[in-house]
Amino acid sequence: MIRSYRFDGNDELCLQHGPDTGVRLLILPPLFDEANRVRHLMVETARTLAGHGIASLMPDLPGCNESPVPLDNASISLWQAALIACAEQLGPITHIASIRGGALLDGALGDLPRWRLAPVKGGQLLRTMLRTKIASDREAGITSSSDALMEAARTQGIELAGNSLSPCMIRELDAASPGQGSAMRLARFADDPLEAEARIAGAPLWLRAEPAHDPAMAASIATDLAGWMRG
Amino acid sequence: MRRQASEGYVSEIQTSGASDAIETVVRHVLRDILGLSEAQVAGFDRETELFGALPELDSMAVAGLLTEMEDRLGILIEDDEVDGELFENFGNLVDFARAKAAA
Repeated sequence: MIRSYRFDGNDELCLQHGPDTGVRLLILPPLFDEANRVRHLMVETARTLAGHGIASLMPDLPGCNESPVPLDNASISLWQAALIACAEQLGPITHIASIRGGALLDGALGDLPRWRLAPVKGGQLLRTMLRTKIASDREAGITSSSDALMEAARTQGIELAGNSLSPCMIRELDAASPGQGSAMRLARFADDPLEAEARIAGAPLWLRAEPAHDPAMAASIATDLAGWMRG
Repeated sequence: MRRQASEGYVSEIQTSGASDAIETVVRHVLRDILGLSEAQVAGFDRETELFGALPELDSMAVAGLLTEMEDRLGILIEDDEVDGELFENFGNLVDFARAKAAA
């Protein structure tokens, strides 16, 4: 079901799946371009969770998806404020699951139990976007560097890979890293040698040059989330 | 430096089977970015052409690839180290990753 929540004078959409009672998961997709590449995966995960009897909310962040607000109004702190408004209006939220940059926002609702797949620092997302800018500048015969672009971006904002980022967003994103919490569950892929509490069958679809979907991965995530949320 | 390495010495990448940890990481990053199977990337050898030969490998994908290599190998790649030659073939990319990881 498509719901909406009121934030900053606008209606922002929010996908709601599952029953009206019991535990309720807030789903935070990756940020920027990575979000587009896993949209199908995220929605299918929410649907599969509903099949397990678990409710979830997946809100549009201001400036993203169907949001009426331009992205250059957004920042990490604004997105967190929007999540608080969403939880107040459509919650209560009992658990949070994020992929990649979603983990940069998952502390917005306090110390709730949090599940993370491949959490990433904001600086790393920024670095990739800066690289696309440097590459397109080079094609246009302009020599640019990450340092010079960042220096200008901190005061004037910048457009990177089609994203219009405000000075506030640049500064907050550059400094953002996934926060600590008392109940965290870190998920990794089955073939990842590093330690993790959960193993997911699948691949990092957010990296794909050509967007793809993996129903088995959505099922794997949903199964782990359902078991974790039921404790 | 990189040019000497790729022309001068015989790298460990001889066949698809034998590989070291760094080569495996580079193979896996390419697998994840390009959506290839394990078998497909296992078939990459020194001469396998990358940029230009693989249409999916556009500038956006290259940006993601570099950041992912940094993350998985614990290295830092400077802007001026990135040029067309780096992505010419798989051998060049692995030699570069090896040199960075050893530095």
